[in-house]
Amino acid sequence: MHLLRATSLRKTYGGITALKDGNLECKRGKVCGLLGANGSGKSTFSKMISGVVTPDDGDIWFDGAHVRISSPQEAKKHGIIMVHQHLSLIPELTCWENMTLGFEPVSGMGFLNNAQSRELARTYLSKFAPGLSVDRKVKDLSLAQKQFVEIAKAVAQKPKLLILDEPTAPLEQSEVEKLFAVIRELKAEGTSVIFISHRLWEIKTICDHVVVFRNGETVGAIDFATEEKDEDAIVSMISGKDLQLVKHKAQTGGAARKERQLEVEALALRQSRTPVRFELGKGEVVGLGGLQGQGQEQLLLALSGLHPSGSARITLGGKRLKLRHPRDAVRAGMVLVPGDRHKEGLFLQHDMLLNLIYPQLAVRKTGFFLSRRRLKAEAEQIIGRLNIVPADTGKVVQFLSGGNQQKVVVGKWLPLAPKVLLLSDPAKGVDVGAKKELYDTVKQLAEQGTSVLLYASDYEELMAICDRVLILFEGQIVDQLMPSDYSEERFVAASLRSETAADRSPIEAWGEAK
Amino acid sequence: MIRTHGLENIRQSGLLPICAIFIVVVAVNAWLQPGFFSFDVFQSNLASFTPLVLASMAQAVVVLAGGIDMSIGMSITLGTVVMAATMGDSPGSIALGIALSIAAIVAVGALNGWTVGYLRLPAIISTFAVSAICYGASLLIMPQPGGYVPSVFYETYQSTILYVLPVSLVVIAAALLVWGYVQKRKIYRYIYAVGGDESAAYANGISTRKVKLAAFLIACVLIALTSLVVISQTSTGDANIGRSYTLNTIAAVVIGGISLQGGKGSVFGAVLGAFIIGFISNIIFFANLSSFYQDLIKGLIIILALTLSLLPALRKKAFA
Amino acid sequence: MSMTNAQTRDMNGPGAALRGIRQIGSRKVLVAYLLVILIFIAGQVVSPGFAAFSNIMNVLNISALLGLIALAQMLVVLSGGEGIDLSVGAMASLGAVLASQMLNGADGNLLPAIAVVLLAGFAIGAVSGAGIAYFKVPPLVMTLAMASVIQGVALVYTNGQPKGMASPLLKELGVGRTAGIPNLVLLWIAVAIVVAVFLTRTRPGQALYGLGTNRLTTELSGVRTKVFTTAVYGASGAISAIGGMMLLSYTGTAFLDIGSSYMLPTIIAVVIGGISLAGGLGSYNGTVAGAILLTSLSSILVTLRMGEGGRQIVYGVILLLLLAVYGRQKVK
Repeated sequence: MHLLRATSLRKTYGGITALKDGNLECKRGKVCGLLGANGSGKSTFSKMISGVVTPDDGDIWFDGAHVRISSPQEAKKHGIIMVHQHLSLIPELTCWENMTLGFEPVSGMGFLNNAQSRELARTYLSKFAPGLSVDRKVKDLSLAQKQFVEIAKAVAQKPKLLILDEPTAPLEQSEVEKLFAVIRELKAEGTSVIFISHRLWEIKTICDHVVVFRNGETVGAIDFATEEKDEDAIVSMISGKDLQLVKHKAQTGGAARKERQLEVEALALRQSRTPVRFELGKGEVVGLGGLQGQGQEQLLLALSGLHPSGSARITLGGKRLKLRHPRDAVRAGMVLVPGDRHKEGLFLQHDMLLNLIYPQLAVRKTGFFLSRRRLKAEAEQIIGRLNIVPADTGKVVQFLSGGNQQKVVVGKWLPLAPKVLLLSDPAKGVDVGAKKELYDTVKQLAEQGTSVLLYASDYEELMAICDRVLILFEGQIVDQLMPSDYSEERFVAASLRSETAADRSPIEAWGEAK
Repeated sequence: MIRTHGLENIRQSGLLPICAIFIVVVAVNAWLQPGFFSFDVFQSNLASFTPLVLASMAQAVVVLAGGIDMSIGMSITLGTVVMAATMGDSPGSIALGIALSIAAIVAVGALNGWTVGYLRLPAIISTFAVSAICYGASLLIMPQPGGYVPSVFYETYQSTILYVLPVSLVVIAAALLVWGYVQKRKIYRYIYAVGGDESAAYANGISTRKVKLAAFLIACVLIALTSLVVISQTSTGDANIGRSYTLNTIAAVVIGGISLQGGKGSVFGAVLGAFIIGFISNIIFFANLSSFYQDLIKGLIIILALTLSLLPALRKKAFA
Repeated sequence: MSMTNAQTRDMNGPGAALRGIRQIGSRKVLVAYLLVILIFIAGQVVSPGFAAFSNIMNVLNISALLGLIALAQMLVVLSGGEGIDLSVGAMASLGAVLASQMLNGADGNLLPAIAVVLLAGFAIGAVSGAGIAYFKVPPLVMTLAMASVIQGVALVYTNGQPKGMASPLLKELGVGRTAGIPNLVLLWIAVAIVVAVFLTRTRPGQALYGLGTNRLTTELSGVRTKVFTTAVYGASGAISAIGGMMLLSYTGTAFLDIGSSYMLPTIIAVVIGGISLAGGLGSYNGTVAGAILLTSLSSILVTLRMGEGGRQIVYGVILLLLLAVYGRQKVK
C-alpha cells in the first residue's frame, strides 16, 4: 500500500520549466531515495510534496485521499514534514525554542509551557546529539548540529512522511550512522521517509527503493526488494546519455603547461588550516572537483577579490597581485563567472547592452562620454560570437533562457581579454545545447591563451573539458586527477576520500602537478 | 550543560556595552546636574525620560518583528491632539477623550500592520506615509497649538504614591508588565522568529502577516501610554509635539542593542537606550551650551551611537 | 523592429506579460501628464483662471523648485540599497540660509556662495553616504539623523535668525521671466537635458543603473561600490543644497525650515515618475512629470482652500497607494 503517490507534477517559473513530469510512489514504512543531478527537478518536486511550491499541474494522493497541498501548514496537517537544507531554523533562538516553533506546548490559559518545550526538545535531540544543550542558540551551533536540531524537530512532530533534503551533506561518517539509526527506528514505527542524497553508498545503505530524476522528469525507479542494488544502473540513469560533449583530448597537457600564468600559494579556505597551493598554465583548463561545498566556491571568490585572500601569495603572469577588491582582480585580467548568475552576475532588469558593456565601465576602459554606437557594435559582436539568442542588444536579460543568460555573464568579460577565467558551476540550470556552446567558448578562449579554473558540480563536465582536475575536500586540495584517470568511479572515490584516494597523499598529487 | 549566571547572562544578551555606556552617562550627568541624587531630581528626571522609554519599547516590538515604525512620533502626536481637542473638566469628556485617542492610535497601528503585513509594503516607507497622514489629521484637528487639558493630568503625573513611588515609575512598570505578559505568550516567540528569519518562520507554519500586525498592535498599547504621559507633561495639544520621537526611538532601539534587521535584542535594551538618550539630553542641557547647539550635538551623538552599535555586527559578518 | 515584436510574441505567456509591465515605466509618465491636464481642466471649472497661461507658468515655476530638489532624491533612490534621503529638505534649508547670509543682497559673492553651498552639501551628504556604505546604517535612519544635524548646523550658523537676502541676480533667476517663461523653468529644462545625457551617455551615469540594480554584480565587475554610494549621497547633498539656493531665489529671504516641506513631496514625485524604490530603474523625465503633477495637485488643493493638514493626508494616501500598486515586496 502506498502512503504517497504523485503523478505528472509540473512547475514552470516565468517560462523556465523546473519540473516537467514528476512521479513518485512512496510505500508505508519504507525509505524512498530521491536521486538526480543538480537542477534535475528533485528539489522542486520535494517542495511540492511539502507545500512550499504549488504544482501547476498533476495529482497527489496521500494516505488514500486525493489532496491539494498549498502551504507547509497544510502539509503538516496531513503529516508531511520536510527538513530543508538550511531553511527553517531561526539563528537567534535557542535549540528548544526552534524545536517547538509553531507547535509550542501551552498551559490551559494559553501561556507558554517552556519547561515542557525544553523536555520535548531534550528527548528528541538526545537521539542524535546527546551532549548538545538545548539552551544553546542555533547560531552558535556547527552545521552538523544545526542539521540534527532540524531533523530532531521534524521527528518530534511525529510525521507520517518525513522528507530529508540532503541531510547528510554536513555530517561526518559517524554522524550519518546516528541519523540512519534514527531513520530505522522511524521505519519500524511505520513512518515513511523520502531521502535525498548525492552519495550512492548512503542510498544503497538506507533506502528500500529509489526514484531518479533527470532534466525535470522522473526517468526511472528501482525497488531494492526485487531488483539488485546496481550502482552502474543508477549512475547511468542519473547522468543519462544526452550529454554529448566531445571529450577533450588528453594530450593538451604537455603543450599548454609550458608557460605559467597563475600561481596561488598559501591561500587558506574556510576553517582549513592547511592552505591550498596550485598553479595554472597558460591556456590550461583546470577543474575543481569534489563534493559540493568543499571550498571550491570560496577558492574562486577569493581569487575574484570578493573574499579576503588573507596572506595568500597570488602571482599572475609573473606579477604579484594584491587582491583587496574585485577591481584589482578584474584589472589584472582575472575574472569570475559566479555561481549564482542572477544574484552575482547580471543586471536582470536591464538590457543586454548594459550587461555586456558594464565591466568596461567598471574599470574605466571607456571615456567619460560613451559612444553608444561603438559599444553597441561591440555588444553585437559578443552576441554573435557566443550565439546568444535573440541577437538583440535591447533584450532585457531576465527574459533570456538560462543558457543565454549564462552566455551574457561570460560574454561581458570578453572585451577585457581576460588572462584567467574563473567559472563557478556555469552550467547549472542550463540546457544541454547551451551548455555545449558555453563550454566550446571556454575551450576556444583556452586555445587563445586564457587559463581557466572551472568548478562544476557535475563530474561529466569536468571530464569533458579539463586538462586536469583538483579534488577539494574540506578546504584542501586532496587529490589531482589527470585525463588518464577520468572515470565516474575515480571521481566519486577521490571526492569521498575512500580507499582508492587515500593511498595517494596530497603531496604526491601535488608532485604530479609539476 | 552550562548554566549561565548574572554577569554571564548580561554578556550573552549583548547588553554589556550598553550597561557600560549607561554607567558613563549617569556618572557624567551626576557630575553636571546639581542635586542629581536627591529624590526631587530623580523624580523629575524620571518624569521627563518616561515618554521616550515607553515609545522606545513600542518601537522595539516592531523592530524585533523585522519592521520599523516611522509613524511613531506622529501617532503619539495624534493621540495627544485628539485628547486636547475633546477633553473638558467633566469625567465623561475625559473618558471620551482618552477612548478616542486610543481608538485613533489603534487605527494607525492597524493601518501599519495591514500595509506592512498583508500588503507587504516596505515598512520603512509605508509607515512614513502613514506618518504624513497622522500629521495631516493632527493639523486638521488642531491647526494651532492649544486645546484644553485638565490639570488633573499634570498633577497626577508629577505626584508620588505614598511619598516614595513616582507615578512615572508606575507607568514604566505598567508598560513592563504589558511586555511581561506578551513574553508568556506564543506571539512573543513568533515576533523573534519572524524578525529573525521570515521565510524560516513561514516554513514553520507561522502566519507572518498576523505576527506583523500583532507587533504593531502591541506597540499601540505602549504608544497610547506614551501619548497619555506626553499630554500630562505638556498640558497642551500641538501637531508638532511628537516629531522628534521617531528618530529618538530608533536611536534608543539601536543603542539598546536591537538589530534593525529584526529578531535580535531585547525590549529592556531599548529601555536602557532610551534612558541613555535622556541622560545625554540632560548632559547637553546642564553643560550650559547654547540651546542652538543642542539639536546639532544630539544628532551627532545619535549618528555616532548608530555607527558604533552597528560595528560589532559588521565585524562578525566579516569573519563569517 | 518587426522581428523583435515577433519574438516577443513567440515567447511564452509570462515573459511577454512581464515585458508589458516594464513598459508601464513610460506609461506612468504619460498617465502623470494626463492627470495634470485633468487637474487643470477641473481647476478651470472650479475657479476660472486656473488654467490661464500665467497660472500654468506659476505652477511650473514652483514645480521647478520641487523638481530640482527631487533630482537629489532621485539619484539616491536610483542608487538602490533601499536608498532614500530624508535630509533633502533640511539640506535645502541649509543651502538657502548659507547663500542668504553670504550674499547679503549683493551679487559680488554669488560665485563663492555657490561654491560654498555645493561643497557644504556634498560634504554633509558624503558623510551620510559613508555611514550607509561603510557602517551599513540603513539609509532612512542615517539621513533622518543627518537631517537633525543639518538643522542644528543651520541653527548654530544663523544663531536662530537667518540674516541677509538673495542678490539681484539670483532674484532675477528666481522670479524673472524670459519670453514669458520663468527663468527657473528654463534652468530646469537645461538641468533635465544635462541629467538625461548624464544618465544615458556617460560612464558614471550608466554605472549608476548597475549599482542600483545589483550591488554584488556591480562590485564583482570591479566598481568600488562603497565609494560610489558615498559619492551619490554627496551629489544628492550638493544638489539639494543648490536647490535650497533656488528656493531663496524665489522667496528672496531665507528662513530656517524653508526646505523642510519639500522632503515628502520629493519622494512622491520620484515614485510617481516611475523610479523603482528598489533602485536601478527609471529616468529623470518621470520625476519631472511627478513634480509637475504633485505641484498641480497641491495648487488645486490650495485653490479649494484645503489646508496643510488636508494636503499632508492627501500626500500620505497617494504615497501608500503608489506603494500598493508597484512597491510590493517580493515573497521570499
